[in-house]
Amino acid sequence: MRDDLKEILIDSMTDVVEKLTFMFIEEAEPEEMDVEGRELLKVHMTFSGEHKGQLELLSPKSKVVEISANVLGLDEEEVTEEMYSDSFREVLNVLLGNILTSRYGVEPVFDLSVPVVTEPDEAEWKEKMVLEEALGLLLDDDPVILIFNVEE
Amino acid sequence: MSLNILIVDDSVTVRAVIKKTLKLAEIPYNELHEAGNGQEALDILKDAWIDLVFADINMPVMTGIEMVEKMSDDGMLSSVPVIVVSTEGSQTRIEQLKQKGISAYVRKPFTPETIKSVVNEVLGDKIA
Repeated sequence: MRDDLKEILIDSMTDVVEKLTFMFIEEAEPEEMDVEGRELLKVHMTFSGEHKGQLELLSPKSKVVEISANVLGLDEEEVTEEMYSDSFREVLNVLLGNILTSRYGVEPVFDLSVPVVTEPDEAEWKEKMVLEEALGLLLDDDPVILIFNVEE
Repeated sequence: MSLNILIVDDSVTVRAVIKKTLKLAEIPYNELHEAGNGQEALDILKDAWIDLVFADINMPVMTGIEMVEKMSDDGMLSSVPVIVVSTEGSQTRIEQLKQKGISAYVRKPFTPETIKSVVNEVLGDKIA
């Protein structure tokens, strides 16, 4: 991944998660990306306009539930699937808006799709982790994968 | 003056973040109402006295833009200030929103300081 894009992704992710979830982000080492035996969630959305592409975020399910509980002011046991899916979608939605403005400025107009949450397995996590566009991060000590793709 | 505030967003997460931010920003409010789309918001606006509306743009059933247009056409509601809170970064779209009659625009993610500053700008000495 190009250094300038990596910087935009890390800065955007830092800004969004700190303001929205009150958590902290740092770049992960490969050995910190292990999620063996953990349930996983993926949220995905596309954008079109002057540029076209997609953004994906993969995370252990327990981290998404924790984020949702923090934001909603609930205990984790009280958080329903609808709630944590909504929180996960919102994180990606805000993140994509932030990344597009950082990368392309305020002139272009983009149309964003509705974010969709799915449940990937460990094999998909491993496939995504080695992609050129994938960025491995630690979100308060839990691994997450961020993938920003632009169709050139 | 304590405000009656209406938060309009289809995301329960965003509504919770705005509520938390209003507390952190020490905005004096009396009643907080919530709506999941523009139509629900209009129903609340017809029944309750609201001093300030925070609204998203993209929502099912009725968008924030349609809601602002209907408020502009209504003699009673046209004076209620609407602050749009969205991920939109395009200056063109933000200008279009301002022409539709919104009072201010706040981009997500936001800080309590941003919210406080925008509310002060929109309401002026009403909250002094």
